[in-house]
Parts: sequence; C-alpha cells; structure tokens
Amino acid sequence: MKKMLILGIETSCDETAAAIVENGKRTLSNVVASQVELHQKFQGIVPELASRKHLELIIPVIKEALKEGGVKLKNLDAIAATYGPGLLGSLLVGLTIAKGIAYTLRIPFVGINHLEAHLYVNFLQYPQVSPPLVGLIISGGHTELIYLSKEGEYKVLGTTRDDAAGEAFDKVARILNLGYPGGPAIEEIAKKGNPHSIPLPLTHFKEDTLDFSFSGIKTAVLYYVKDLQKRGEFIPTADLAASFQLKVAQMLTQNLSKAAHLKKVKQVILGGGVSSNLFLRSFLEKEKPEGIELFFPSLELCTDNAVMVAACAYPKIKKGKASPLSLDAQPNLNL
Amino acid sequence: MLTILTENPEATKQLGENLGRSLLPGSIVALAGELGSGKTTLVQGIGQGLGINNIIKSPSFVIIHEYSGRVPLYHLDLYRLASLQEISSLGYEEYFYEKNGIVAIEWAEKMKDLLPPEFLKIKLEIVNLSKRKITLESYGSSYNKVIEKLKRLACFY
Repeated sequence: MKKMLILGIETSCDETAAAIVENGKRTLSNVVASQVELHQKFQGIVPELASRKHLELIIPVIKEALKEGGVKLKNLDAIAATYGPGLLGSLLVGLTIAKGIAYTLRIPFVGINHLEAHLYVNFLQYPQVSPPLVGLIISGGHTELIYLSKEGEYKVLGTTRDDAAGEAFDKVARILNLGYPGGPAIEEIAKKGNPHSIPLPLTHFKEDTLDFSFSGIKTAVLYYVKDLQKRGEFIPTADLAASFQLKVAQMLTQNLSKAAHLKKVKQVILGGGVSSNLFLRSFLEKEKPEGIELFFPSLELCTDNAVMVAACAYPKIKKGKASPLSLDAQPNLNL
Repeated sequence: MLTILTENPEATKQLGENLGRSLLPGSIVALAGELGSGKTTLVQGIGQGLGINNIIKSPSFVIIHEYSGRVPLYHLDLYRLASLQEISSLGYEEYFYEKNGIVAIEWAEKMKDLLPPEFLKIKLEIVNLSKRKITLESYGSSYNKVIEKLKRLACFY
C-alpha cells in the first residue's frame, strides 16, 4: 500500500503549528511555535498580534515540518487545517495557506474541527481506544463533555455555563498575581499548598445536568483574597491555588463519572491544554468509577498542535470526504 | 442614573432579563466591573430576555460570541485585549453600526474612546460574596427610557 502523507496546520489560537503524519498513525514531524512569550507581556492573547504573528511564522513552521519529516512538498497527499472554533483572524491564516497549497498541488484539502482533533489524538496514541466512549475537552476556550457513539458521531452532553476550565485557571492566576499562562503557574505553586485548607464552593445546579460552572469558584477565590487584603493579612497563594485546583478537579470528575455511568461506557478520553495538568490526571485516576479506563494524550499533544489535525484528517480522506476550497473559517464552530 | 443592589447572581440575571426585554435593536451596553463582579451573569440575563436558548458563556477566549434570538446578541469581551490599536482592528464597527442587534461589551472601559456617543453604561461593584451594586447610566439620552422602565421593575430584585 502506498503511504499517505498528510500535512496538518493549526492556527486557531496561540500556537502556529504544522505536522506531518503518515497514514494517520505515524508522526513524522511536529512543529509548534508558541506565542506564549509574546502574550506574556500583555497577560493574555492579543488577537491582531496573534494573526500577524501567525502570518510571520506559518511559512517557516511549515518548512520546518517538511524538513524534520524528510518530506518534499510535492510528495504530500493531502493538507488539513483547523477551520474552527477559534479566533477568526488566526484561523484564516492557517486555513488560507492550506487551501493555497492544496490548490497548487492539486491534492485534497480537509477542514478540521479543532474540538474533534483534540479528542482524536487519543485514537492516534492508543490503538485500543474505540467508541462508544465519553470524551472531555478542557482548554482555555472550551469545556465540552462529549458522547461518541461511533466514529464521527458526536453528541455534546455538557458544557460550561460560564467560564471555560482553562479560562478559570487563567483568571484565578491573575487574581493571585501568578502570571500567564495561568494553568502551569497554578499547577506549580499548588504543589506547595494544601488543597483542603481553604473551603471553596462547588457550584450545584438545581436541575439534573452534566453542565459545568467555574465562575463561582473563581469569584470565591477573588472574594477570599479581597477580604484578606482589606484586613492587611498574608495571602496564602499556594493554599489558594491548591484548593482552587482541587475544586476544578472535583467538578470535572463528578460530571465525567456521571456521564460514563449514564452512557455505560468503559473508556473515557481527554484532550485540551488543561488535561496536561498532572494533579488533575492523578485525581481523576484515583476518583474515577471502577471499570472505567482513562486515556490522556501525551503532554505535548494536549495543548494545541498540528499532529492532531493531520491525524484527524486521515479517515476523512480515506472516505473521500475532502472539503471544498470555499470552506470558510467558523469561529463559533461546535461539535 | 439608576443604582440597584442585587442580593445574588439570580437577581443580577433577573435585572439582565428585564433589560433584554427593554432594549431596542441597535443598543450598545458597556459593562464595567472587575473579575467576578457579574458581567457575564448580567449578559446571560439579557440573553434570556431576548429569548435566546443557548447557554451564554464567557467569551474571554475568543473575544466575540454571536447568538440569535428575538434580536441577535453580540457578546464582546475585551478582557484579553491590550491596547486601543488592537481593539480597533476587531471590526467592532460592524457590530455597532450595521448589524442592528444588541451589543454587550465586557471590559468596555478599555475601548471608551471608541464607543459611540449613545450607549448604556453599566457598572458592577462587589459588595460582598453574592451581593452586587449595579449602576446604570445613559450616555446620550436614548437609554433614559430603558432606565425608567427598569426603575419601575426595581422592587423585584
């Protein structure tokens, strides 16, 4: 069988990424140029800066991916790029260049849903993963609990009603003056704190739901800090970070367990930047219901990357499901 | 000007819902208040008032969320934006002047020089863990009617 070489491109948010994956399984290269340093200066994402930076980086990143993978542009069999959800200006950079290359080389182009790609990483890394299963995507922009009944059939079981999980990490890090990005900063300092030292509320909904809420925990941290400030007392940053992290882990675990039970699945897969949090991983492993197998992508494939995009495109190309070159970026795309 | 004390997030949402019912297409609501002061909660209420069934989430990450209701709602969040220059490249004019929906902007103070002369300013302040002080002020005269209407309903928060 001839090898199928797919170039994946991902520019939906902070990262400019390109990767080459062979036959949807073997990663030949994985190049990620992060804009984190750039955004650190501003304590957040700067959309216009982001798309300008993507423009500067995209060609070098693609060239590097080809070189690292030992692949010539003309030998590519297909191109895939994220078309949503994300920041419009950023999405357009990756999408437009992917369509341009596909048109020039006369090879298929596939638009990929960023959320599907985050989950799909697990199929790439663990051959034993197979639907029906429950998936959880947790990142700066998303908190989506998904039921995958069979390949390509997604149903959203729950989502956040306010802040995304990663957004809560970022905002609490800002409240605690820990800098950007907030996730790793909180995880690091929380190691020195006691997660049971500060009682923070876990939001409960009146109705039976698989939705999440993180805004109440964030506000509770804020209020705790303000209260201490008012009294001129010491702020126990490590304890607060640890207690906050525990509450987030509890909320995620609670709904994940409920969903797995409800859908009677044996496998649960995770994806997105927050799933690289090691405290969360060990907490989930400890607290998960019996008989459920958990799968986490390797750390570098939790955060945004293009390997997931190229891998996710493979079954679609195999089935002849290429996208039209008229495909537009969709900032609010859902699963 | 109208100042309302809401006892809990549900009351803040209720205020938003009444506001959503009262606002005319093309309205611009500029929200100011620190993290956790209830800006997103208020916009969730506005969404309910507009008959939007989707969950209204914080748009901090992707900056703009669009919802379709009786009147479309454009929910902007400038939390992550650094300078006026970056904000002006957002294409916000289209939302302000062309789309004829309701525009609700979180962290609107970051773009105060770019706001049109007429808008409804809402300031949210934290009184204690659940209680908020919410001040509504009409810039230009067109939102005075909305404020009058909310005043009559104020006893219910």
